[in-house]
Amino acid sequence: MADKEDIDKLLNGDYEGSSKDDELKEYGRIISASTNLRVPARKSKEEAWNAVLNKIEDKENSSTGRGKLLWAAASVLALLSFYFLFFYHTNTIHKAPNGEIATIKLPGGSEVVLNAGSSIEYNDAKWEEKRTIELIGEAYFDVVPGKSFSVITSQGAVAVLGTKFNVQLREGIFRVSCINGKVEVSRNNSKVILTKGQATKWDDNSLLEPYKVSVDKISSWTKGEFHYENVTLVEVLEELERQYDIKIESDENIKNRKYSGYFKKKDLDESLKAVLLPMGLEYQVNGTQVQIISNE
Amino acid sequence: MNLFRRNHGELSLSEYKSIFDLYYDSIRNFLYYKIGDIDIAEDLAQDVFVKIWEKRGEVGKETVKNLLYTMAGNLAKNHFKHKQVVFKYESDYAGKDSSSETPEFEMEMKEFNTRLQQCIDELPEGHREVFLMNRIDKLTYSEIAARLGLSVKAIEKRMHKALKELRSKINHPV
Repeated sequence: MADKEDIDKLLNGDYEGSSKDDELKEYGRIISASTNLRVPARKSKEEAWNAVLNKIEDKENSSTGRGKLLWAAASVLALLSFYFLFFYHTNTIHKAPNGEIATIKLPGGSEVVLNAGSSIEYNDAKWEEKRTIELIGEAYFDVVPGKSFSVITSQGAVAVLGTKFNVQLREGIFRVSCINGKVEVSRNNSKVILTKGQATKWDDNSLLEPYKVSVDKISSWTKGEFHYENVTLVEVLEELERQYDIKIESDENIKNRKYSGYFKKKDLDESLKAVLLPMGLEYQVNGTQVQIISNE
Repeated sequence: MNLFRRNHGELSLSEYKSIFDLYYDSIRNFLYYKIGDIDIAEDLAQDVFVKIWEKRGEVGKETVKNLLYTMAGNLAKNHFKHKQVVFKYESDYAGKDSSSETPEFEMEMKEFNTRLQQCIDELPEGHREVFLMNRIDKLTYSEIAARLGLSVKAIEKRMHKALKELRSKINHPV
């Protein structure tokens, strides 16, 4: 007879001694086979996230009609005091969905260019004393000299002194490149200072010592040109997916190949050729799906 | 591009994204265990998170996980009436050393797996969910209990009942 402890042992992956009892053997088989089951997921987390943001946006847009009517009906005085309180406690959020690159002017004249699939958040009222921005994704910053300016991501922070720099936070990647001025990058106990033409990225345990990068190529994405120097192919494919709002399917074994080169965001076919031809890969486009065919 | 205004005490976009990153997969899976259609499960999972955003002034980071499952359960209830439950799982055999197995063994394994999946389909929903949350999502009894708002004892009972039922069904095909 199999008792609770025996079954729980099996559930924890401990099959020792289970072959002695027929009943336990059967349970063991069921448990071991079911451990290998998987849900056939279709969307990646990033796609699902974009879909959620789009749904939220649709809902907000459909209700502003009603909102405007109510707003107009309120008294002017109530409006002014409400707006003041509202403004003080609120944060501003900007996002760039897939397929779009957005330029945002921050209070005080600094500028942010948001890459596709990215968002930033900051507090308007606190901006005067301390300029702090929360970032998800990738953005290029052009900062007007003034009070302290910092960019915070879930995987590291950047403190700035009136300068131009690029911050990338994507799946498994945290990378900061400095175009002008000086920038301090931090994460956990790791701190690195960058000057013009230097970059750092998170490498498992710490930030890498500053390495050289071409200043022209760091932020060329803001003009639609995406340059890469010895990165994994999957990073480039994910960027293509975001820029063109498509889904790319490929074999696991080609994803870790290294790519150096660039593509221009203009024509999907041209871009796919620019990335895949040098790698000896072919592809097939079906609407918004691209299938990569390896020749091996 | 648009603007969302946030009030003091609400979830920030970063916090909301952390919640999404932490729970999206398991909520989508939960809906799949109930409905059996992956596209509908993805769609409803997104709707759950949209609802959470709408309630961002009322949710706390600790209470949100139970709320997610409750909302998912409610959305699934409305869909159940329209779609027949049909499951499909992918078997992840990548790590196994198949070179040492005979073709007959492989065949038997395949048949067993198909039979197992059919039997999982036929489990009562409450037992099936708990079983799959443990086997596929790799959640412990206490984690499942917290998410579903039940006691750990209740989860243990469902798990053991599911195993008993599976064993009996596999041995006695109807």
